[in-house]
Amino acid sequence: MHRVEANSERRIRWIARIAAVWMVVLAARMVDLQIRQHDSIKKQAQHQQERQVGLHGVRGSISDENGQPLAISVPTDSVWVSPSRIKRDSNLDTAVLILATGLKMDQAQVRNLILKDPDKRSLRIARQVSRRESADICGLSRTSGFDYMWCEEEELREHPAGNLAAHVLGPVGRDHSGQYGIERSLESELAGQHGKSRVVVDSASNAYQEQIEQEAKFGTHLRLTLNADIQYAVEQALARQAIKHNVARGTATVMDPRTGAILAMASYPNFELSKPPAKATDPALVNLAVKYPFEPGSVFKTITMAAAIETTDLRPQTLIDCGAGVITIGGFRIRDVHGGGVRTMEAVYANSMNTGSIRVGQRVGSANLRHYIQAFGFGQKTGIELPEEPGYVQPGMQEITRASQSIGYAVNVTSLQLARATSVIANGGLLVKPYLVASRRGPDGVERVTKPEPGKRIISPETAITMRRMMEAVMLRGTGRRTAKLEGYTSGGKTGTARYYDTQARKYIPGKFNASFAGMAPLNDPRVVVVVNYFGTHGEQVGFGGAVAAPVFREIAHASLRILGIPPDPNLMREGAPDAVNPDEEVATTPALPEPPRPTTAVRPSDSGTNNKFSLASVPYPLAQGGRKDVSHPTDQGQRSFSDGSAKQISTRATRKTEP
Amino acid sequence: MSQERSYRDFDWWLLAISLTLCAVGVLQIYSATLDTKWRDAWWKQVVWIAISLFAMWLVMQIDYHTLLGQVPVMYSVCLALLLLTFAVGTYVFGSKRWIGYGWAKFQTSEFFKIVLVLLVARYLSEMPSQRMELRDLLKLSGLVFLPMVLVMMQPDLGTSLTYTPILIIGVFLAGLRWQHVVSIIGLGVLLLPAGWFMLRDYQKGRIMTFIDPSRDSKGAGYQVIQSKIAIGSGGVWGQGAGKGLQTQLRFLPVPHTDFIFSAFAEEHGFVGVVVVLGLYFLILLQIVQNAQTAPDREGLYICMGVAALLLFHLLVNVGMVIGRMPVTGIPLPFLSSGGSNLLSVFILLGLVNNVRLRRFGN
Repeated sequence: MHRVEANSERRIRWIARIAAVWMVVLAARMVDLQIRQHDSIKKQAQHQQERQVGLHGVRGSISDENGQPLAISVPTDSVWVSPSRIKRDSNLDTAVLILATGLKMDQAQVRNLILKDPDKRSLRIARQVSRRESADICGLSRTSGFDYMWCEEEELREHPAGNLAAHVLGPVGRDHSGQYGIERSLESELAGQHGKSRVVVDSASNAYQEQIEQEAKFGTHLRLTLNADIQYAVEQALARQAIKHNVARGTATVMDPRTGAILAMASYPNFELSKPPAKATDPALVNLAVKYPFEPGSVFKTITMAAAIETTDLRPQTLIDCGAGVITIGGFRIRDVHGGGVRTMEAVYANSMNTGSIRVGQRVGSANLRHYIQAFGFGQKTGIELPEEPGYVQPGMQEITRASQSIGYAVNVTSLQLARATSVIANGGLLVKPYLVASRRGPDGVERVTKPEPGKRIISPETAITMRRMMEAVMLRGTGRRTAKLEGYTSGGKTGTARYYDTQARKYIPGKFNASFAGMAPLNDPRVVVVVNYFGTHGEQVGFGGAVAAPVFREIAHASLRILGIPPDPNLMREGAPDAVNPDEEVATTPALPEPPRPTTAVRPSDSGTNNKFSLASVPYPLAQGGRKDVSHPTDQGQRSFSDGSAKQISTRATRKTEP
Repeated sequence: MSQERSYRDFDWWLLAISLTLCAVGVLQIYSATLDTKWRDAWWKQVVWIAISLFAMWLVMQIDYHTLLGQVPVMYSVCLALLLLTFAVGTYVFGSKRWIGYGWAKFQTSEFFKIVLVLLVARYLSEMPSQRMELRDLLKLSGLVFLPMVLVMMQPDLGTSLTYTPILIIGVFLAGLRWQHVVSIIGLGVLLLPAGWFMLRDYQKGRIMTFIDPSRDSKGAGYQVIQSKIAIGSGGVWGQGAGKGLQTQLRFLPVPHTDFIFSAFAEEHGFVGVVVVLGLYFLILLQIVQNAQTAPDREGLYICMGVAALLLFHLLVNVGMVIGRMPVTGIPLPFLSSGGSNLLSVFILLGLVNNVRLRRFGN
């Protein structure tokens, strides 16, 4: 029943045809988008829906042996802007306002930074902003959808103890990897491994789903053998003396002779851990204890004497003819400042007589001397966990060299090697390996304590004890009697002074010296070996080891023993104690002395009971770990109760932090 | 004029297909608004469907000839409401389109479509000559352009444009002369630059963006880019209901209204798109068939006007979301969330059924 005109009918068909064409166009487009371009569009979708997020594996911390933190990584943010996007959206004023307020920066400064290169795609406007300060600005950039401003996670290495043990720790670089010191040598253990995660985000960049592709790995935490308190005392004493004597460089090491654990290791001048000198050649960066080889001078006579006792029939009381105090060998005249005559070997050693020492060296002979130099660990790396420890080529053994080496010339050693060699005497004849890492705690949380390598016997216990007595003689009657001898503790040591060799000018500089002291205390059971070296001291006598290095040894040894809680020797506690010991008698075998008065504060009775015996080999730590906490002990300033002492320690620690 | 009316004559197919599309729409609205502030939209949509069905039934009750008789009154009232909107309308996204508040607010411009369908049908069927004279063309165009300009000034370019297909299809069917077509096109070309200056900045921007979407990849271009990504991500089978990431992660703008087709295409893929477009095609066929069987010219013009409106909405909306048309904010009939649009579409279907029910009359 079609009442519609044919014309309309035709035109309806026309309309239908046009509509059909449109439909085909739409369908074709659908095929194009959904089938042909599907894969590339899917990628486009993922690109905007998914973010690769770096998971931070935090770098391991470093603490001293008591757990006091020395280096910790804390998460911070770096704030980035895109000057080109700011330019595109022309919202410089807003950006400047937000950034300057959020980062507490000067508006003009921010503006200049952004405008410096307005077409730059990304610019880091602030580094290592603490989370508290960055919270506002980073939160804003996340929630507001600003695309010209964002934050990136960045770690900051903080040093809660300031620049303490700077040379041992070493700074980290901009990439948060270690540049020097332990941070560098144990980089692979300390460094955390960054992980990856795929986060699906919505259009406002809110996380929707997260899929971890690679877990972040946390770095290993290191507990060092260093004792922060001893380290502090060492650094203070070292620096004070350097300033007083106007010396450019110096180093000191405190070592536990029984294990090789380094209790303190310092170099002067120090540097700022958070802002290390930019130049890699800056002298302040050098850890002088391990990286600075020098001619030790007379401290090396210890090796000559030990070799003599081991290999010849020379004994401390054997008389040595020192002639007129001048000896000519191979055309070189070696003069002795202490004069000549016939002396006991002990006196030759105690007064550091060169002629006598050379005679002793000649008795030992080239081969033996060379053997013992090597046996004591010279000419080889100590194996400590510090980077770039140099190894040394042993010079040839001509007669002049042998003679020179008997008195510590023509041989290059490091301070740490000296400490190691001195430890051989201190621990009864064992060569130990110095080490710095007391324990490691990995990502699994299990603490693995470093087992010190067992010492290698290189001299007999008897020789070691004999050498200790000779070293005590230095303190009682020799070059160390005025400046090195400890109060209240038995001690032994050796001074050393060598002419200063300028490596650039390639000659010895007259009037300049390397002043050294290597010693140990207490003598009956040495708990610390202390080596102090100053390089380039000025003036005859005043620049010698006995004058410059020995007082520092004394200060460091006192502080170390006090901090370690080693009780003073009751035999030495009387009024005028140093004089109470008959110089002709050996301290350790003086039972005739009357019972000394007890110190006013408590001392562990067990310790005072074993006081007069030499221990021949390493004994387990009785006190080192906890002694400080529960034993009151006198200081060199007098008697002080523990509470006072701890208060003082805390206050020094607090002030130390504020130092630049 | 008494007719024997029977509900067997009611176009059940048309109802079934449109309700199927409505159901698809409700599901898609539900999926697209999960966890958003519009999460009740699907429920509102269901209520609006019910209301719309009732409105359709109401429209069917009154003979369309009676309705045609009231066109001058309806036209005047709607025009008055349109003017009132300017005075007391509610701003939404920077334009005054709504009158009233809350549930009661509605868009006068939506309902003007219905009035215009009736107006065009009445005018053309009352035209004395078979051939359309220029005088008639201008007069009718003037009647259509008046509300069109008002709506355009709201500003709501999209809705105002939907008025044109009613006019074009009408005059085309009424025997528009080819000379007139040519001269209108010529006039249009001449007026195009002038029209460009009449457009608002954001409207110009949309057209520019349509030509080059990357020009404004964060604004209007962003919407089209995201829409294309959503459709393309769908692939053949789609990502599954509620699993379209473009939709769920809010990259796709207004995924429950103007861009609901993209959301649907992402979640149900090419297969879903073919099914839905097929359903629309069936609806249009059904309406055109009703036009062909219409008892008189009035009926024919009404049905074809409705078909033209639906087709225009479909083409412009789908064209927009696939980047083949500028972004104009025209909703997709049956699917897009929104009561006014749904109501007007079902009233239009009611008109079609009104004509169909009376095809065996007089």
